[in-house]
Amino acid sequence: MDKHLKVLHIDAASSFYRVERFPVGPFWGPVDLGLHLTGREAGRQGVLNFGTGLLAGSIFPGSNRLIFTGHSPCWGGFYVSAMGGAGLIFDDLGINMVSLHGRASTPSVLVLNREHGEEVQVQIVPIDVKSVWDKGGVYALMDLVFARWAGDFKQTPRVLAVGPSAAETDFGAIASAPYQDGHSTHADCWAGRGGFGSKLFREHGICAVIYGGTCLDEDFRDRTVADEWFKARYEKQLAAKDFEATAKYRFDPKFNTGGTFGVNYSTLQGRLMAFNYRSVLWSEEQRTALNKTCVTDHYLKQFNEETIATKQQRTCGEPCAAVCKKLNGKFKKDYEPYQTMGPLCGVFDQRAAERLNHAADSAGFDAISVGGVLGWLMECLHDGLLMPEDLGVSATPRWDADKFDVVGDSAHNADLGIALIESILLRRGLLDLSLGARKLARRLSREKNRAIGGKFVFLANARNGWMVPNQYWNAGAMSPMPVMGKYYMYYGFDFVPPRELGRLNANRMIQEILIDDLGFCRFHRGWAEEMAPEIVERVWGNSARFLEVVKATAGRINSRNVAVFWESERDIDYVLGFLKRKRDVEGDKNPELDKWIKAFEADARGAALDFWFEIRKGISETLTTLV
Amino acid sequence: MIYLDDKPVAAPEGVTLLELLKLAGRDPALTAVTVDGKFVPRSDYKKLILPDKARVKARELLDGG
Repeated sequence: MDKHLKVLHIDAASSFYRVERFPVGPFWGPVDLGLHLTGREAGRQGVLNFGTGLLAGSIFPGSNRLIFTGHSPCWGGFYVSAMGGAGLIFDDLGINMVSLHGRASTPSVLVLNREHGEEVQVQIVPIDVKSVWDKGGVYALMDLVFARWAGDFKQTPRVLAVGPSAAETDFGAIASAPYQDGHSTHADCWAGRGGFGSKLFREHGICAVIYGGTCLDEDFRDRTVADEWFKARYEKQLAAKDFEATAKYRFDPKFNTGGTFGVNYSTLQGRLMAFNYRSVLWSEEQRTALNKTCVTDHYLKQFNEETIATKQQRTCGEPCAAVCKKLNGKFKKDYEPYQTMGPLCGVFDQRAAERLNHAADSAGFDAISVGGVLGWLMECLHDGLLMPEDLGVSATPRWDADKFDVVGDSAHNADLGIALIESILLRRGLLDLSLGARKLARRLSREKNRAIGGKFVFLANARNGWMVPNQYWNAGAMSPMPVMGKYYMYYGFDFVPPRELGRLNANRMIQEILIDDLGFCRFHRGWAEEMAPEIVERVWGNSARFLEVVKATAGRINSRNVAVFWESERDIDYVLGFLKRKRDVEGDKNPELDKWIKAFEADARGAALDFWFEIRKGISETLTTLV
Repeated sequence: MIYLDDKPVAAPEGVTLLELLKLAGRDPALTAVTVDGKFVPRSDYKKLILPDKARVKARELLDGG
């Protein structure tokens, strides 16, 4: 098996490239190696790394994520972003990682092609990307790049592309979709969080990458041996265990639905977040009533009838039992994007949500963050803190929950969201998101109304860094971790005292890095977290070192932890609302929970600061290490 | 006697963490566990034998993106 990780360094300015090898042992995968490469160049130049884990191309399902690392323009710190399935074809290049340096002088496509044992062909080709984007954003760009270059590859290549949001904001994402018979499958995969699309385009001048090859390397493919390992632990073969572990993503008979959208909306009940999180201030009765009429009886019902019952589902591009990409025609449905550009914006109808999500996706946005930004701007319009002309639009949202017309009002709010997206891309009115939403919030709060920033729910990091939280209403999702927005924390609904929450977050981060560093899709974590050390031990014989490196990587990432205390009042409302619901609705009688609620009620900001720092203590005491 | 989430649980001597979770009807794949305040990685659930009076906290993990 591989004894080295091979990194292809490419200078986008000159097209110069070279290969560098790193021994397995001190380095293991795209996260620890990406962190090393980013740190090595710090102060000299920015780099964007993307690569696979050592098990890419193996028989282990879910082992083909493409992992991006680097300094994130929107987070303002080191970040990791994972894209499903795109690693399978990347493995055919016969390298483990690309490290991109420099900046092409004009927007260009990076072409990587390798035939068998030949050298990788590296081309950087300028294109008029703006005229392509005008025809359909990131999807038009993917189609054009595929049409122009796919014929040069012996096997179907994979395309990564960015949209106009990468040019105009700091939170543009990277999109990709598998192609079949020359056409996109619409099973969109995203390196969504962290603004790496903006980084790829603004810092490196690359608007798309097309890659593929026929280089065969030594991948682990002995199914008989793997089955023995799995039978010893689970009394099941690999495929059977994976099928069981990924059930919820495919179809859960307990809820008669599947996918993150179906399973989450079947279970959220009074934890629903809507109308820019105003619902955290409501009574449980109000939330459950809205959930029933708008979600259970309509939004989720449509999804189950149109997507689940008709089995419109695909994989991300690798052979996998999870079949997690749930679709309705060309629209791919995931929980968090259809939540932030759904209930959070006052949209509870699939037709409306499809239009809004498609507009954001075509523009290439981080779907979760753009939904959070839209919800915030809509509330400012709703409350008269901003006027429509301030944002280059002509309407205000319809957010009357008591008289909500689920189809009509959803459509109206989706139209407003689409208009706001256009305003962001064209920088109409006061909408300049080129340096991010936190900077905009500050400016609007100073220049228009101090209350504006207080409505925006986000995590603050470093000087200008920001991230819309994962859409789970709990304290974990608002934690001061060094990387937020991608499950490097405990995001369950249990009340965990904050110091313990910090420790739990830190340990969950280590477990998540363990699977990211091997390029595993976290949908397979039901067995991957447990089996990863054993697989590494059996194949490379050094799992103890692997685990040390993973823990040290988490510690090194945390050494750059510049999380900033919650800057908006709504952030504090969010956390207090969660705590109160735990006690008053779910009946959690933990005395520490009651103590914290009373502290918040006496002095919300003071208690919030204490709570936040308690979490931070737990993180620091777990991740600070000399090893 | 072993304590799971602050409640005493009758469990056989020499029970492993994995066995305890299954006895309690918990899905090991969807729990984050500490034993006496120390986090236990999932790969260790099968081999960790719980001492008498061990305090086990099993926090529910969510599925998700």
